[in-house]
Amino acid sequence: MGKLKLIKTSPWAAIQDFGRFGYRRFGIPQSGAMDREWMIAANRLVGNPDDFPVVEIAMMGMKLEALESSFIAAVGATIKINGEKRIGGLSLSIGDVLQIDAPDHVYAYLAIGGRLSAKEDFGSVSTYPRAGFGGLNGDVLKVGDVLESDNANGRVKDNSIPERNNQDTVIRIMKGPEWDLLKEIPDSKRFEIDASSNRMGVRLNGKIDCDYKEIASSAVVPGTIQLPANNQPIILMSDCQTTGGYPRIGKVFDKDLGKLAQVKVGCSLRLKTVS
Amino acid sequence: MECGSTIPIEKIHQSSHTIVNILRDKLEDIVPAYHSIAVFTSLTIDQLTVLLASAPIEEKKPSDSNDIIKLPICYELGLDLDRIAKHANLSHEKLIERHLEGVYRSLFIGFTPGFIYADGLDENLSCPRLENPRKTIPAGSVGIAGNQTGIYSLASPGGWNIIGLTPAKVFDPNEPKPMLIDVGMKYRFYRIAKKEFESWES
Repeated sequence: MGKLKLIKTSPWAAIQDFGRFGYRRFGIPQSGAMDREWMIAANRLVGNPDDFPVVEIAMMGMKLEALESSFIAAVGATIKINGEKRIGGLSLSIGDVLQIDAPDHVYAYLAIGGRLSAKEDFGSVSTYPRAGFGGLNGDVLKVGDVLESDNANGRVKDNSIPERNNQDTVIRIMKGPEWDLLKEIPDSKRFEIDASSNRMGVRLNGKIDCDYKEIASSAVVPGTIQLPANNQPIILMSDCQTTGGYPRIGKVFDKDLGKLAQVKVGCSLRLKTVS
Repeated sequence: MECGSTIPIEKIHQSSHTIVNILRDKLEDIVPAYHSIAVFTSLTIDQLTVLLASAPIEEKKPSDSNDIIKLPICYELGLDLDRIAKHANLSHEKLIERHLEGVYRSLFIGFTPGFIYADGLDENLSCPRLENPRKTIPAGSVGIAGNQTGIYSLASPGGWNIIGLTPAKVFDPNEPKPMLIDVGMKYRFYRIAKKEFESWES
């Protein structure tokens, strides 16, 4: 059994998997890892199936102590074992201290060999604190929490990690139901990530000219690009609501959502319309 | 799919029900809203069109038995009873009487998991949203915002006027059927005292 105790944590460190599907009709958000490709990369570094739960870390780093021998890997942050910088899939012995620095981009992922035990709600252990779903107790990880997996061992299955950029990231989009309200094509513009972005949505600084009108609330999904009255787009992300009343001018390709999630506040991106 | 703004919501609910029945395990999820139905499936648009076109037209959906679910409500715990009464120019008792006469219908679910948006509010009881939304409102709060009404399924922030509190669990994640009131179903309230509320077990 892998077993790690949290000694120090970040304000956002929470268990995530691919998310909840089939419960939108109850207003239940999808949730799940913001960067699914990096979640998969972390799992492959410890030999887990792609969909096993991982710890998603944002903002600050964290520190853990091995209570049992464990096999771990992190993607998106520098890690140190007992103060020594290491890379790849790593074995920990009892008493080893694992330090994970603040994420290089926005989200980093810690995988532990074996299946992490966590609370399952609606088919997923993804943490959604607002409703108390998933995670250890329906909440983010706290100091003193113990992460346990059903396997002490692991092996590196694949050590490739998809690249992430911080400047001029190109995000592919398709046209949405209210695309025709636009008075200009967004492709030539450069947008910056706004500081208020979070797991519900990425807000972009930069305007798209549009004949704004409110629509009757209708379904939205992660990737939906909403354009509120101030003409500044919001791209909905993992924890977004299931319905919304702003025009849906487009949708980000699912494959590009991870790339988008990793663009830091103040950094830029471009939208590329693909028809 | 967009249904046009003239389509009544009953039709939306009925069509959603038909789609659920036709697609069965090919349906991953469905989100009916005011004028649209979002269908989540791995079928292509063409396959979907063929399947739906071959569907028999159901005139009545089986769940529409006109059953009205009765929910307990405690008005003494309504944080904004005063405000709503003043706005409606009614005494507390008159306000409560009017509210108890109403038959409400779940239109769709959104905002937070299990939050019910409903119609059926007596227009004299409509009341503008609070200027300063509260940081937290208890689960079971029965709210009014303009002429919309709804039930908070979870403790959450909110700016709706709270007329009363129901101890019924409208949303229970531990139940196989988490919603007590399905979309399209009707409900009304019966009054309970604060003491009954406190001793309520459901």
